[in-house]
Amino acid sequence: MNFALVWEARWLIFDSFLVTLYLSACAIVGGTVVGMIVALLRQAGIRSLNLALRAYVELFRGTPLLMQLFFIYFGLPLVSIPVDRFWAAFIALTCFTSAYVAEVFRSGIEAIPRGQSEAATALGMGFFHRFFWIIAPQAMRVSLPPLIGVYVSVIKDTSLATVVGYNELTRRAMELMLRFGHPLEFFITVALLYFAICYPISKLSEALERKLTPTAR
Amino acid sequence: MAFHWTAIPRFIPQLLAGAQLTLLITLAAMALGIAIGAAMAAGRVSRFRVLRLLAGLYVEFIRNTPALLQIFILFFGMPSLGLRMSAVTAGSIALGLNASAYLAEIFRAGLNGVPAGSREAAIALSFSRLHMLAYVTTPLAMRAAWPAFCNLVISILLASSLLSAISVYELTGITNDISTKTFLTFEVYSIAALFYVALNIAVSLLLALTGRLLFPPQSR
Amino acid sequence: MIEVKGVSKSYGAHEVLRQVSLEVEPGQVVAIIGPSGSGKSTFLRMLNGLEGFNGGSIRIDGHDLSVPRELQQVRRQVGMVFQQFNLFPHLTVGRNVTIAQRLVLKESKAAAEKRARRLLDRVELSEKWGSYPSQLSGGQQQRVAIARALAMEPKVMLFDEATSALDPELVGEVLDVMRSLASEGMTMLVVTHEMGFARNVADRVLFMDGGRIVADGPPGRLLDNPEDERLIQFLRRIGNHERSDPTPVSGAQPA
Repeated sequence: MNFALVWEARWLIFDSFLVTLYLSACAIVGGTVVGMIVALLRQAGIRSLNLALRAYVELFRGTPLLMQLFFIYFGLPLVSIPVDRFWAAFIALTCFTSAYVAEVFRSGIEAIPRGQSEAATALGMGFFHRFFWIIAPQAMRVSLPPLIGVYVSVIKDTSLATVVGYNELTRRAMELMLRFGHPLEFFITVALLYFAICYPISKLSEALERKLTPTAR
Repeated sequence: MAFHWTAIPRFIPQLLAGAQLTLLITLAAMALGIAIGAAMAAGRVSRFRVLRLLAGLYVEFIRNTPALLQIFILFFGMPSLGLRMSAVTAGSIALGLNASAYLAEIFRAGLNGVPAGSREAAIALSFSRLHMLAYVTTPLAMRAAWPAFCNLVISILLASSLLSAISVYELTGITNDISTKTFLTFEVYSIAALFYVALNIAVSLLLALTGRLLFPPQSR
Repeated sequence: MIEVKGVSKSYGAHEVLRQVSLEVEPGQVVAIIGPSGSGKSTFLRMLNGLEGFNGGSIRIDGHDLSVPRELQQVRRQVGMVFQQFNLFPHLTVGRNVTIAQRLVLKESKAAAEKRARRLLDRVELSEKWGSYPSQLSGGQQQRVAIARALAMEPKVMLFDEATSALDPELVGEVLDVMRSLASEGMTMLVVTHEMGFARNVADRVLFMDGGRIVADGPPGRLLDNPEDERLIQFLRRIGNHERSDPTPVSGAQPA
């Protein structure tokens, strides 16, 4: 094992660590916003819209992220939409994440007893009032732990941007390995960096889940 | 731009071969994952602190690092320890280890899902430890873990696409290959996406059927 | 049949049972009553080793419960019926009643099934042989649970609030089975809120409070002319009527 080499490359690694964090943050924000919109639109109860949204969710959950990434990176330029590596990764991660986020919110919304919505209707509240003041706040509570779980996946999934040559953490480890050898040292170092971000967030999700369901065995 | 759908049929055999490899990798990874996952779950509920700690470390490390990196570690890293494997082997093992960490958690949650009353009834009927494990705990834990298990099979099926990054020609690898050779990017990826969706549906149906046989709905 | 001497139990600083002693003759039917938290369920569960105890000794039919090897012997001779039935949800009614005979008593399949059919017939559920527990009403499940316990041919039967989780209209069918068991001379310990059962079926009533047996005697004396102040209070609180439980579990659910 030769970790002196890793130490020498520390700034290169740190630089791409920040890139990974940046891409993660962008994809989390993008995926959450789009996912919320999808979940909201599904509540409107318009049949054709529901069908389209279900197809969207199933398509992005039912195919590998890697393929979505290739498709966007190589496919969009063919229809004259130029995408660089960052944008390809960002769009793919956003779509992919939004499908999971939408499902998390949907099951959160479905966990709210029907009586809540009925009580709000009985009080004369319209769709938007019902959704934003009664349903969403309660659904948010239920959805938070699995939502944070999805965010952990997003951080790990940014590693896939490697395959389109985006210079994030995994890509940097690969490059360093190709130049200097010592694959185990570089990959394990990088793995520990991912672990350092993901582990605390995973624990947060678990702690929140326990807090929300104190009686669960 | 113009699409050339008519060019697609002659790639279907290649895509089918890719889909077959995808299924094989998934199967191999799940088999390895179940074996190691069961051991890790046992470790996490063990009486011995050291075992609990080691199993916990293993599970947490794998669950909190990217699967792609795990594949790279096995494929690029192991040869430097003198362990040389083909890309398919290294990738399948990496995927199996990845699955095992999630399975360990699924099995553990399944054990926690066994109703305490069923255990007490077995004790009151003076079941031995082994009988209780075989006839009460395991079947009830399996039943509790089944939905999560099915979800994991699907995510491993999708994750097998990562093996294309180490030049394994499973469904995604084949698709990339055809795409770069023919520039029929849109067409090939669309068809491959359909293949994945079809694989998902087929595997999900098979699992649902198995679930109905193993755990009849009235026995819940 | 049952010999309990100075048994105590505590969870940390909380004492659940304090120096409880009791002797039960073969064929006796003992009803155990008392407020919730009085330790009566814990005491019952102790008698087949579901709960450990800190001090004292328990002997059942000559077997010492603190000896692990004898504990298994005791459990074979002590049947237990739980508040929540605790049938095995993944097994049919028939399998629920035969499984312990097959595994523990090593009975042949034919013998186990014959006995199971006889017992299910006795609790009037022979037609439910192939059903799963979730397809039965609570009362039916509890009757199956009684048949399952009887299949081990126990010398003692313990009932831990066997009717408390049932809808009011289903309580009767379970009590009927218990009553007929009592009339056949089964030794029974019954933790219950059913004052009617305690009065009419039991030979003896124990009143527990604060982890002790506070009063012990025949039901006529204990329930109609109580002397202990706490027992008087308890009986007043629950109304001391035939059907005692003022808020049945199922009735408490919001509509």
